[in-house]
Amino acid sequence: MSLDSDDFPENSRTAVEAACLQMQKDLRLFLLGILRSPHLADDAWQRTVVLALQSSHAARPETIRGWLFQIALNEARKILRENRKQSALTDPASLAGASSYVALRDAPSFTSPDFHVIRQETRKIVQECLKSLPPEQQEVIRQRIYLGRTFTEISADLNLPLGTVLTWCRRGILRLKDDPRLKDLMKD
Amino acid sequence: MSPSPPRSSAATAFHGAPIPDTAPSPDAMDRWNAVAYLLGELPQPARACFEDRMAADHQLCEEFLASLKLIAALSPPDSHNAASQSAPLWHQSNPSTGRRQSRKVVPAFAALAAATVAAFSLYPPEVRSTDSLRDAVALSSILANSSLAIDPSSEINSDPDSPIPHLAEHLETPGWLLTAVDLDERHSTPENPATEDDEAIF
Repeated sequence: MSLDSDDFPENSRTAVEAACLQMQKDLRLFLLGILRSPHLADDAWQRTVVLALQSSHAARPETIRGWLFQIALNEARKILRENRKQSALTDPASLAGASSYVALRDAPSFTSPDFHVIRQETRKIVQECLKSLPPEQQEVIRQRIYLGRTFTEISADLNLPLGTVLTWCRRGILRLKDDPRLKDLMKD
Repeated sequence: MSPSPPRSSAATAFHGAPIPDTAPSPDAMDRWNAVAYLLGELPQPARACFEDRMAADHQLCEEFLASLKLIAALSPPDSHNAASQSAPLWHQSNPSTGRRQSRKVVPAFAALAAATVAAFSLYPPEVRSTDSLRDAVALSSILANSSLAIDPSSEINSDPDSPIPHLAEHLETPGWLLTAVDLDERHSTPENPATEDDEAIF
């Protein structure tokens, strides 16, 4: 999609609509990452499109991607706040728990079909890149992300301080993110 | 041990434990916080703080999206694999979720099976074959025929001669059969002699 700056103000609504369509996959994934619930993410996505179209006059072609992300984020946060209020009504203890947040409780894992947009070849390349990491980083990432174990469990299992396990995981993930083979793939 | 440099709230909020490493640049910390956010490792105040930062920085949104894709690519490809190997992400923090879901799913399947058996038992014995494969084929063809669908809420006729009362409504009697029955009746009535009828027709 090309957003031509010259005729953008006249066709801003059409351009925003086209941008929503083009960025739909990324924006929905982004919303799912924040809300963790496919239903809430769908709700937020609809709200985002409606709001974006309503305020399409404020969109600029050079910043439209960031603009849409901000609208999506705001809508997702509104939904999270509404959910927290609702859960506080039904379960007042939920407000007291610092680490509890509503959407995460019944969250799908990254293995759910909603994340199947990640292509098989991407998974393959990620696995190859993972093998290039030091073994201890590979093991912590595998246990935390693939097996879904907590850092506390991993550190107890490996008989290592929690901080060491955290550091290995963080270094490994950041190295993966910097891997040139993955950088372009993650932009797709 | 030398005193560590001051860290941001988001950095120390992660598990409440300072990371025993040289302080990473803010950029690296944001990149790691995106992952920690997705893994559910950030407590609520740190989550809110990270969301505030994303709202002000589009690049951080992109970083968040890239982290999401990376973690999804590192996760088991489907839930069946995950279930067979270990508990999937996030389910560990709430082990009752899976049990709650199965408590809903199992009765639903049981109710569906009971309704299917009840509906199937209404059909004639020739349809209810003992062969399981033929049963399945017959059942699927019966269920596929929407005109014969039985409303589970409707009352079932207990008359043994008419096990499928609704079926009769959908049957059309052929014309030749009606004529034959009519003729047969006239044969049997004394006021209409058969010879006269035969002559009238032929």
